[in-house]
Amino acid sequence: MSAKQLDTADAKALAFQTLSEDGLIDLFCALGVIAIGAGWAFDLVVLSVIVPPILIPFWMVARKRITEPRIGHVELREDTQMRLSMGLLWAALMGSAVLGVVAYYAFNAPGEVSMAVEELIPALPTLILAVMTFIGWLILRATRYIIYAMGLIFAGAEVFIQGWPPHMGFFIGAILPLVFGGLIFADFLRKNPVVDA
Amino acid sequence: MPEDRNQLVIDRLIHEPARLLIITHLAAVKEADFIYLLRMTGLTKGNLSTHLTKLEEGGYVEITKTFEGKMPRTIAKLTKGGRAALKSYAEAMRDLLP
Repeated sequence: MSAKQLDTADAKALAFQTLSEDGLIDLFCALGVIAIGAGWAFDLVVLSVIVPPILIPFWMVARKRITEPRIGHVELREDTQMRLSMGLLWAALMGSAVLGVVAYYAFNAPGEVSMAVEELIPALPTLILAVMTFIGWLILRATRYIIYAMGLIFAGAEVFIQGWPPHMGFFIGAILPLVFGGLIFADFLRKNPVVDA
Repeated sequence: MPEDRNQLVIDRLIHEPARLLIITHLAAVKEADFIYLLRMTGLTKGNLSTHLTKLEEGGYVEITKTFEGKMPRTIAKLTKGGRAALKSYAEAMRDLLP
């Protein structure tokens, strides 16, 4: 990119893009979602609670060992980091709000509405994850997150229609980030050899 | 024409395109290493190294050399002076253009 085409906003966007261009974040998120689903399926709450937070340091180590020798290390500015944290907080709040609204209707709405909402409950975790993934797209600006969110909505709809247990939505929803993440990661390794600085 | 109007006050250290590119990338982040800058600027290793040294000598960039295992690592960070100089440069260029 030449100096003519670049401004500080572009440079910021490029720095931000390095967070997701290796596909590792997709793979680790997919593994986290599968772990939560597996914990749910096999009644192993520990798996759901412990594994996703443990994946974060593993992701950081993987970036340091695999990504940074290829595309370098960059630390985002404090204001950008703050925006990222606020985005994640916003995602969690939106997820909780969806949960709250559905719970309210499930317990307070009269007759048929209440029953319909109750039937939606098994699909709810997957749909909340879809909302969070959509917010993830707003933060990272990577189009594939929209596709993941749509995949999760599809998975939630399947759970609702087929009457499947909630963890099935997690397993189906994790397929797209797992496949896309794997392909992006393989392509990243192919295109970016280790640089001898 | 009065003498003071006969001069264009431009910071030549920043005005050079490659250095302007490096400084623009560094202004957008907290810090970045040599490999990152190499990739973002498209400069050769030798060129990037030379320009970084000049920017460091000018007090615009702070360079830290460390080791990551056995691999050497060069981290560059824009100083307060460098940030201020970039701001002044941008203002000067804006004033200059119609």
